[in-house]
Amino acid sequence: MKRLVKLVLRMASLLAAVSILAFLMMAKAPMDPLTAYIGVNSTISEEAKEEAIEYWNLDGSPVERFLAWAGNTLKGDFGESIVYKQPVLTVIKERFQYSLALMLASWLCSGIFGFALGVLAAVYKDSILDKVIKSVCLVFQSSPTFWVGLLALSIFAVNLGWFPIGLAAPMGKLASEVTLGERVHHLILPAATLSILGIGKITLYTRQKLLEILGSEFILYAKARGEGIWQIVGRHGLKNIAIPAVTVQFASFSELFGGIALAESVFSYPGIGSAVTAAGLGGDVPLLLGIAIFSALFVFTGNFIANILYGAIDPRIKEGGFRG
Amino acid sequence: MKIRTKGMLLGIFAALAIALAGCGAGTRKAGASGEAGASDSIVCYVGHGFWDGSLDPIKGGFPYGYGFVNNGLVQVNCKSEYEGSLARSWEVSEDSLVYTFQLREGVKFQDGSGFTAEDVAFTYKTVMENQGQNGEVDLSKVEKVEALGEYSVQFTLKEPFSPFLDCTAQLGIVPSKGYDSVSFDKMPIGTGPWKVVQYDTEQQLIVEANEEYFEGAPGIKRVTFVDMDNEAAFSNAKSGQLDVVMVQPSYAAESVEGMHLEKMETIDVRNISLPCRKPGIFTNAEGEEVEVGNAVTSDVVVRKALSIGIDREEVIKNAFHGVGKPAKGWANNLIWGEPMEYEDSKAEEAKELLEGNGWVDTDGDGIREKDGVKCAFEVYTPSDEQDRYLLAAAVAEHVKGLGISIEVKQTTWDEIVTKAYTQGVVWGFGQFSPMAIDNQFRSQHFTVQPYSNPSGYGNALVDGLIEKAISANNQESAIGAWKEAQEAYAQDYPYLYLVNIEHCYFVSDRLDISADTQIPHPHGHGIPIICNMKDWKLK
Repeated sequence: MKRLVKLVLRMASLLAAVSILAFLMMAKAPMDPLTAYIGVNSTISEEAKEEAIEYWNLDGSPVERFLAWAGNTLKGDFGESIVYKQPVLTVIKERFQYSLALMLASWLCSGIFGFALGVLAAVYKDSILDKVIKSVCLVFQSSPTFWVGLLALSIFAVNLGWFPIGLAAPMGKLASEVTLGERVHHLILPAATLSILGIGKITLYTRQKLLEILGSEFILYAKARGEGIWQIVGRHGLKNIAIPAVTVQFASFSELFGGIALAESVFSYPGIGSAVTAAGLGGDVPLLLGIAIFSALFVFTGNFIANILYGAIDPRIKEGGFRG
Repeated sequence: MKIRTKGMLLGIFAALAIALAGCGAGTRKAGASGEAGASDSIVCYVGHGFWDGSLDPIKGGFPYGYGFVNNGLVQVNCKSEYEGSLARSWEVSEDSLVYTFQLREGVKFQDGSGFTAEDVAFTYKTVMENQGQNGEVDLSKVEKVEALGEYSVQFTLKEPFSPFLDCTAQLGIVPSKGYDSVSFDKMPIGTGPWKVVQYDTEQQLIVEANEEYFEGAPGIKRVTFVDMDNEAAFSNAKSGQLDVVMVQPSYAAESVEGMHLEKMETIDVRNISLPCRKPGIFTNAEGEEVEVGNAVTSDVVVRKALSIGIDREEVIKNAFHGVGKPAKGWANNLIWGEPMEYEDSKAEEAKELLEGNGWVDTDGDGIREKDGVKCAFEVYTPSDEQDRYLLAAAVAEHVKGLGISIEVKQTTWDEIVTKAYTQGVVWGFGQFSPMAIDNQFRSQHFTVQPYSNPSGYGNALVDGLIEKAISANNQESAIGAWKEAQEAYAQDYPYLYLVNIEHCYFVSDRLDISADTQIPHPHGHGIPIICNMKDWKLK
């Protein structure tokens, strides 16, 4: 019980901090929200501008505006997005579906491939395979997402024509006619690009950890008993590297969120990343704060799940107390 | 074991490659109904993020002055004149306060309900009550609106306001019974030639022909607008996915197989504001003290030398690959546009003018001086608009020849708003409403209303003419006064007019976008090409 209260308190303080920071940044941004709303060339009258300022709550001191927003939010009203003219929650819900599919696909992809490649590299340490995997991972690690995205787009979509150039569904098709296969087809390139961010890191990490384990004495003992390398990895290695792998994998939730804005803009993918961009450029405070809170929750959940999984994988941690 | 692993890896790669190739082949065969190449439907790209907001006219959806999903009371035609759309005719009272519209009869909304004066009254009242939600159509001058019968509606204004007609062109009418402020964001219902079938924000908008449209059903049955960035759209066009793609002027030299370039006439002009006041502190109507003025551009001789001395063709060639027409004032395809007629690129005359007024290069650095002041100033452009930067840079390069130095700087609009009081700024204006003149030349706006009258121009004669135009009770006298105002300020050159831009699109060879019925495009590259989409035909 005490743990639960602590957890909730920690989450609440995190959300408060995130929203205050996000609000401060928006308030200090060199941008007039009214101009972002009506445009520079608008010739509407002062009266109409006043009405817009009042309706969208663009006036008043930052503290007042923030408190007004916080009060409504605590009541469950996240307000209306200025850019999309829809309730913030509606926008987030709609966009998050797309992003969730994208993040999940790339997260699984980087986790599975990263882990598998890491194990392979460790088992065949110093072989050509190891060297290839290592260099590929280092290249992946150091290449920026948007650059990889552009490259993938120009090779696989523009030149080879294997994949569509952008969007999350075929052009001109009604939602009811779009098949799962088509959705997956539109997802592959952005998901692959996004997962490249994670694969390199997880591979190198897994490789390192497995090598440490393989160098320890009980492995020598296992070898002496006549166990083959794959038997050793299966029986002793995987269990021992699972925990660091899970940590890295769940910690990558935040990186996924960071990468998604870039990947989405390169692939014209209509997810939460493009909504953030639009909100930032349009001075859309309610939407930006809504997304900030939502993503903080998302990352928090990721780390929380990792904590629970520790206990499940390694009972020693559970016994030693909850380290959330 | 090593060999086995390598074999396994190879196998995985091969399987992946086959799967990928299969995917590619699969979609090509599938051929979605809306894909370019289908017999009665097209796919278009008319810009990124234009439909982010609501499609609901009540909240400012489709304010371009022509019918699309919804029709306005009046619309703009190819000559930039207002003509009836849902209104058959209208008259204005002697005191310019009462506008009475006679409406078209027998028109049906897309939901089957009949269109009457009730719907007009409902639409206008709803916008007036929620003006804050509509940043496009300004009804703050309207006192009340009443249905006078089934097919007649009357507006009473608070004060004379002749540009009101433009509001009636911008605001599409929604059905009073079927209106729903939530569902209309994505699925508005109107009387227009196009019905919204599906709208996925930042992805695509699909519309279908309204077979019941009162001016006749559109020729093309289904149109998809995709939302992506310009480069992705151009790639899609190159791979044959699009029938219309908007491109920046820098793409005009490219060629796309199966498509041809269309350059569309616009009412959009670009100019540079030249601060007319001497440097100093200005106390505005609200009692604020603002630093204003520029020692160089406040000299009318410098402003005139710039206007007559530069070669606009050359500047357009350097900035926009030659796309666009030289402009010396508002576009002359506007009913109220009265650009000055004079020859430009008279560099010698401009130099004589400058020298005659004391601007001489004494220290041999190529830049003139007068009383120790260098003939140099800054020109600001918004950092997110490359076109304006290119234009300013081309001008800066060009005026070096006249011995004038311009330093081009990029920054945010937030900073530009105050920089404009002391330095030049590149502006773009293209709207059917003559309120643009009020915005840029009326003295009372200076420093009070952001982005208005940035040159700090003050001329009582012009102010009076603008007032006269706004309070006129008929189009002719309003236009007459607007034109007089333009003649009155022309001799002062408060702005360096440069170019009447053209909008570029690549259009599929199988598509006829009916160039004869296109209206001159307003500001906002992209969407205006669809003004006459109901007249488009597939060959």
